Amino acid sequence: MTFNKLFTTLQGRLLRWLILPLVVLSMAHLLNIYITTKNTSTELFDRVLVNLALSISQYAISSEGDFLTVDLLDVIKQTTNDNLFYKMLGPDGRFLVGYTDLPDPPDGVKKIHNHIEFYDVTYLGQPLRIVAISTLSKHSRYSGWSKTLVGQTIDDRNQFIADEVYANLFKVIFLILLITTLTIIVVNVGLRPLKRLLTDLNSRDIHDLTPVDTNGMPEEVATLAGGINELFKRLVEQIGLSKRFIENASHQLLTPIAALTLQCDLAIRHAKTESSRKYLVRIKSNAHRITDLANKLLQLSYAEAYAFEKKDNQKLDLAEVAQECANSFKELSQRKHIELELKRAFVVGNKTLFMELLNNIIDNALKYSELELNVLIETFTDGQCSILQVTDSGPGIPEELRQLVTERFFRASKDTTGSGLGLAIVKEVVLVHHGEMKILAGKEGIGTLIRCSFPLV
Amino acid sequence: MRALVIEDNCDIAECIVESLKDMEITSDWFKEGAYFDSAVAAGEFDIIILDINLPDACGFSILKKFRNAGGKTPVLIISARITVSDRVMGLDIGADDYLVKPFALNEFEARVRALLRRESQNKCEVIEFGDLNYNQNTREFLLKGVAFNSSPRERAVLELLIQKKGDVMSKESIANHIFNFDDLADASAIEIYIHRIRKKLASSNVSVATKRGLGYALQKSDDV
Repeated sequence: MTFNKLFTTLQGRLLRWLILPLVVLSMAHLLNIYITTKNTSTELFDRVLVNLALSISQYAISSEGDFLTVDLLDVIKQTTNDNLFYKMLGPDGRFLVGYTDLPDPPDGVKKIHNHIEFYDVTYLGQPLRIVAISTLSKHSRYSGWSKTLVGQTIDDRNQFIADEVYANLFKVIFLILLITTLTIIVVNVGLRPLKRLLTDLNSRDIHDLTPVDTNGMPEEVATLAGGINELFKRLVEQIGLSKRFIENASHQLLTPIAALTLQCDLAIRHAKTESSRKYLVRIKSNAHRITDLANKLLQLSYAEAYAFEKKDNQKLDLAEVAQECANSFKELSQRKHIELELKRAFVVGNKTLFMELLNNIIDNALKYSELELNVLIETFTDGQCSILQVTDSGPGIPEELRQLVTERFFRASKDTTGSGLGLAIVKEVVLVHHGEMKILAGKEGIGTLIRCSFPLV
Repeated sequence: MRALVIEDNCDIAECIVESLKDMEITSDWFKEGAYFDSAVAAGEFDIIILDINLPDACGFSILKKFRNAGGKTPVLIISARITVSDRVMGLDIGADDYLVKPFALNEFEARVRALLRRESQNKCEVIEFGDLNYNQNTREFLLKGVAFNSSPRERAVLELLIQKKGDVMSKESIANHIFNFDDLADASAIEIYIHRIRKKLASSNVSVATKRGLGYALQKSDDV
């Protein structure tokens, strides 16, 4: 997990919210350990120091101020790793034995007991904890209250505290690592339904707006999926609305055009002069272009709506569709000769759209060729795809324009009469049926070959 | 011949009526589907031109009701709806043909002619009756091979009679087929047309016989 992910991913957020308080708590815990241990160690070590001071005082008195013997020093050394400094003052305040310059207790040091004082100083460049005890001795020479000062470096105490704090620090670090690992694992497991949802959404076709199956999802993810489904539903409604709008708009457009066309026909019949007749014919041909445009917009909207609704979906034989389409064309134009080479090739789709696909290809070829046109319609399968292939003997489409001609409202030249939607419709129909469209040069480089391949059924 | 036109767009309806007039077909035009029932009850129509998107009714339901009630008149649907399912539905519930708006007047006329021909039980283009020849497409009469001169109304009466091929047709029925609701003429006007037709047919072997109490029928003189 990169640092960035800590802020952007859900896992990161969860980790942050878990680990940050945990770290703060651990700090507080460690501080608490430090303070408690320090207090405990002070108490324990101070007690040892008092005992040492008592021993030294007794020894000093009994040996009448002699230097401490090696035996005693050995014993003392075994109890502590610290350096010891001592000083003894007799009943009259006279220096008896030890380090003369060991500092006396400063004024105002709190007495633990009437005869015991503790204080911290720096001596010979190192911090010392010193105990000063007053002892009453009945020794012949030193009868009365004598004072013993014993200083001890604080390495042992520090070591003790450090040991305790480190032990706890390791525990805390281990705990944090454990919780982090567990969180990552738990979050991963917890996020698995989300990942499944994501995979489902990602693997979808762009037009697939069917609701996500919420069965078996945890409640939280189901809520999210429910939200997505609601969005899908609204989107489908919206698509339906815009489809109906285009349909209504086209119908509204077609009614006055229908009147216009009929009026033109009547006017042409009754035209008195050749020039008015000429203009009327032009008006009529423009009315036809508007009709063509409105119809093609309707076809496009129908194709787009099909992609989402899969309305009137059925198993079709491309050969039958081609045959039917060719029949309808034969009636209409003498200018073209349609040849058919049809083998059964099944697809799943909408028959109207396939008819429109073929109509538009042939129509397009016819529009751009002035001479007689030969059209060859072939249907076949190549083992993987059902293929519908139309070859015409028209002028052909230059290679650099082949991508562009399928764009909406693209025109090869300005003076053509097409709507600029014919091949766009072909492409749309191919795409909504999960097919692929290729525009190539015809056989021997003459004309155009349009190959549409669809998934085999 | 008489047509019923149900079309809410005045411009389109006007052109259709005009075109039918050119074809010598009398027509009654109504803007609303509500008039359909009373119109078919009152008049005898040879063809019905029906729009689907009407302001007050759906053409499909009008058609369905008409066919269910036993109406046999051929119906030509005109509509801006172009989907295959619409066409299939229209034809399934009893339309005889379907024309998508916008359409050319020529195509409309061709389809009307085709429907009338189909309905006349005489599938061939030309009906022969003695010396009289009638071309159903051009709607021209030839008497002994020569064009038969007559007014449109006379021709309309003769057309009805020749399609019956000698069967009797009542005066009222003839009147119902050639006058629309706006014509003030009554059935007695038919007698005048019959009289004129008889005069023009006098030199041929075809005549119009009066079947008393029943109506008129064409006769070939060798039948008598």
